[in-house]
Amino acid sequence: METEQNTDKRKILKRVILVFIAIMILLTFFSKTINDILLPEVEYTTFSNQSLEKEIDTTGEIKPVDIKKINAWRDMKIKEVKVKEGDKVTKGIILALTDTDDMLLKVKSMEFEVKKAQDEIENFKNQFKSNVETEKNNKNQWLVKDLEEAQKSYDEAKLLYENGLDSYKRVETCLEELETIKKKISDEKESEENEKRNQEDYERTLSEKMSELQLKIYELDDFKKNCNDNGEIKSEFDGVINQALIEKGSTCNSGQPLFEVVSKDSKYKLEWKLNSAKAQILKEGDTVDLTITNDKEESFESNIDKKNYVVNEGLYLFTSFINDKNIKTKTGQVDLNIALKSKEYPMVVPNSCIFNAGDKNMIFVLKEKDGVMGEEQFVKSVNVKILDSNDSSTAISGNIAENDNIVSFASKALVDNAKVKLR
Amino acid sequence: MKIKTKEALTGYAFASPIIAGFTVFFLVPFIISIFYCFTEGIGTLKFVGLKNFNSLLHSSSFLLAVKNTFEFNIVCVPLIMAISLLFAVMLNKKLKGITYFRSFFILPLVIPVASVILVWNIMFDQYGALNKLLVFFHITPVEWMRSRWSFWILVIVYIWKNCGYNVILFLAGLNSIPKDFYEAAYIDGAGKFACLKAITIPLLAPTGFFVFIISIINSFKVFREAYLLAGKYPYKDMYMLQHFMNNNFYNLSYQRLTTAAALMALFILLLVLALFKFEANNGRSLDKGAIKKKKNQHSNNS
Amino acid sequence: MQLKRKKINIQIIVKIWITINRITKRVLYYFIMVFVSISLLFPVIYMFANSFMGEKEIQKNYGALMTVNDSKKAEPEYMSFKLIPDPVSFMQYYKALLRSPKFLQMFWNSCLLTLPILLGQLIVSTLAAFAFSKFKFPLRNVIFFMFIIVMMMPFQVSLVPNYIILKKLNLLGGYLSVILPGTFSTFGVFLLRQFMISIPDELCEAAKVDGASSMRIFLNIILPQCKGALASLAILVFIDNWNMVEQPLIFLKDQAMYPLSIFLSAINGNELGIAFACGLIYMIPAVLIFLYGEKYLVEGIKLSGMK
Repeated sequence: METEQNTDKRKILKRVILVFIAIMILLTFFSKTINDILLPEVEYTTFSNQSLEKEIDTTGEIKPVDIKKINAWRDMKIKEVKVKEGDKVTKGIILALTDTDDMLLKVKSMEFEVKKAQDEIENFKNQFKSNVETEKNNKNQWLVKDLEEAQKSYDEAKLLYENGLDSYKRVETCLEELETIKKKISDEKESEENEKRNQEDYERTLSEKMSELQLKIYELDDFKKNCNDNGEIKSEFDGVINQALIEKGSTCNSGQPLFEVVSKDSKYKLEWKLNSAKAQILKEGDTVDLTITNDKEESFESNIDKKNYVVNEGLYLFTSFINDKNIKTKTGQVDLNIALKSKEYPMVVPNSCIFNAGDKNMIFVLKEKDGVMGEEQFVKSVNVKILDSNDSSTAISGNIAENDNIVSFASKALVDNAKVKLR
Repeated sequence: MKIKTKEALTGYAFASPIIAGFTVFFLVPFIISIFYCFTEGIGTLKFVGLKNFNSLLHSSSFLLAVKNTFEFNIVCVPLIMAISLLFAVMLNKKLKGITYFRSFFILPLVIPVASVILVWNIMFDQYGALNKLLVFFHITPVEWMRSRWSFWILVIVYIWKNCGYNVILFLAGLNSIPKDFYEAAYIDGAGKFACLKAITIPLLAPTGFFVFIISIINSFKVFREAYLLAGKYPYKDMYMLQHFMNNNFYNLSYQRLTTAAALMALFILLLVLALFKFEANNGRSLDKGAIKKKKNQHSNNS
Repeated sequence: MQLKRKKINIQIIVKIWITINRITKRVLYYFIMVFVSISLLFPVIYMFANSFMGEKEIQKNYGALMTVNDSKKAEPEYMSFKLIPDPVSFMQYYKALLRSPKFLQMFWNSCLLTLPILLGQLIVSTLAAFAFSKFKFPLRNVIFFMFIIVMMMPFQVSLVPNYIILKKLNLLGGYLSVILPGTFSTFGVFLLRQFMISIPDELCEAAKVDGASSMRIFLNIILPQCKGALASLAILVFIDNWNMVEQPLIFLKDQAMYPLSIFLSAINGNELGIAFACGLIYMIPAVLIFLYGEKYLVEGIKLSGMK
């Protein structure tokens, strides 16, 4: 009876033992996997003492600063443009050819104009002399004679009257006559005055015409002088053609710009535009690292020279000079990366280190303890204040030690004292 | 002669694994360590004579450890023997459920120390369960691990764990006493106490002798509990020889450790020799004599 | 008549009194036994009950132990003592068994240390016990006496010798540094010799006369009879080595190799949350083996005490 009970008991126990072993083996296989699945994986980093680099990606335009223009020194018709944008030119090199026939024609026409002006002046002079001078002298002589005669008549008539020899009527008539002549003389004098005035006018007109002539002569001379070029437009500087403003067949007036040449020693400037949100990061005088990507990537450091608000676009225009001689710049549009270095912060961590809880920011510091399972990792939350940040990093202040490992990635939401495992 | 040699060789052949292992892992190193007792440090093999023994016997921590170990044995061994004898007598009855009680006595023996140490820690912590109980009854709480109590805690833990072993040994001893002795004594009108005094104790003497030895052996093992409860440097009343040796091992003062170990080994050797001598002289005669005496008594009375 | 009546009455009273006396004694006996049993089982019951407490409850009950109490505080905080978990939670088991791969690894570490020692000691001990009980050879008793002395020594006595030799053999840090000294523990020889002595020599003699070799005698006659004793030894060795703390702590270097016993002993305040379940799981193999082989265990203990 008792032995039967015992064997029953031992049978059960045997099963229990087997089940226990089976469970332990099973769990051994599963617990690692389950734990791996359930524990948050973390990666960690340490903070560093560095400045924050704020980066902005945009497009910008490289422009040369020292652009010299070659203007047309005369009206010209372009026969041929020998250079194109970007061509390097040295002083004296032929940039374009003009139509010389046109030029000669023009010289001829200008010479003709001069001739014409000269003739005109001659005519004018002659006309005036023949008209005025002889006539005037005659008249004056005649008037004086008339006056003398009238005076004599009057004197005679008066005398006669006084002597009664004649009627008073006669005297009156003589007086009238005298008066008329006197009037005539005064009129004449008046007209003489006018004449004089006319003379002045004439002289002025003449001198004007003369100077006009002179001008035309000068122009002609000048044109002739400019026409020494055999129709060649030459570069006046060493440099690179920035822009050709003319093309074959175009005509241009004197003074019109033909070419823009970037002088050999020219600096370049970089211009870019940003909306106000991005623009507030940068201010005038900031030192920035600029990386331009055109055909290849090039980086250099520069200052922000100007920051202007462009009203009609609602954007800020920034200008920086490219001071680095080594930068092989090409003008035109480039992809631009602007990196602004802030002041140095003692604690800078990647942005991913910052976790938000409500309005508080915190980081998790990875701690190890000699747990019962050997070494064990867990995280401890530390509240931090954010001083500054950029796209990748954040400057913080808080109670963190220098060699603290700060969680930079967690596969799951972390809480204080949560156990974690390393990736 | 030839047969004898052959037998001896076969004997050695069967015993060779343990003899080899024993030699390699205990005997040779032990001889080496005895050699260390007389040298200075482990690196330098400078013979210093009895200097190590001298310094050891003047070291207060060693003396404290020896004192505590002795004290512990003097308190524990009689106590556990008395208690386990009491329970053995109580369990030596044909009553329902008695086997369960016996099982409960053995159970602490198999419970790993490491598991149960947690409970002891909770019990005896300064802010633990026992003090909570004391506070509940408005008794001033005690710093169990930092007072004389720590010694008694060790005693309690020791008895808890080893009582079962001794109870079984005593039970076996009790079972081997023929029942008719008691019947005879009962007929003679002897009381229960008289029976215990006249029959049980004398006839249990050989068992008691082994219980005594095993209690001593087990008392050395209580270091594990002490170590796990209080660490390397417990309160002074808990500081055992094993603590001393263990700490000297970690402090790398091997010569102190080996010297202490040699002294302890020597002491145990002498103790065992003395006990066996005592047992050979008195125990057997006592036990046989007692049986004879009782038997004679019995036959005379009948 | 009256006298007779009185006599009967007295007899009845005496009988009743005796019965009452017996019953009270029985009740008292059971009462004591139950009380003692509960005291003995208390740590196990306590651990079992607490292992079903949730994290919050553990924190609530044992908060006083986890935090360092300020001694200057006027009213120190004591832990609260509770047996029945409310609500019952399997959190501890879940955490120990499914969320802590190291716990299970250490469990197997314990097995990895205990089982080889167990096997090795069984083999080595039976062979040696056979030799010590059935053969006469020079120095036999001296060697055996040495075995007994070594068996009695605390581990610390042989600590340095062991350490030195393990270092020389370049075993330090590996499992073998714990397994080998454990295997050659002399307790098994002692125990099995006790048993084999009780096997009548005549059996061996008879076999010898029949021309059986010593190995044959060992395998065919001694071993079958030793089954019980071997089971006893196995249980005792298992319990002893499952419990091992000092040896692995000293001889193993890598924490990943530590057995569960060290892990459990290292449990401190903050990890109380899973400690009960861990401790309980750790004692399960020992308890199961105890339940399964209690008979052998008792026999083994008895054997060790036999002259």
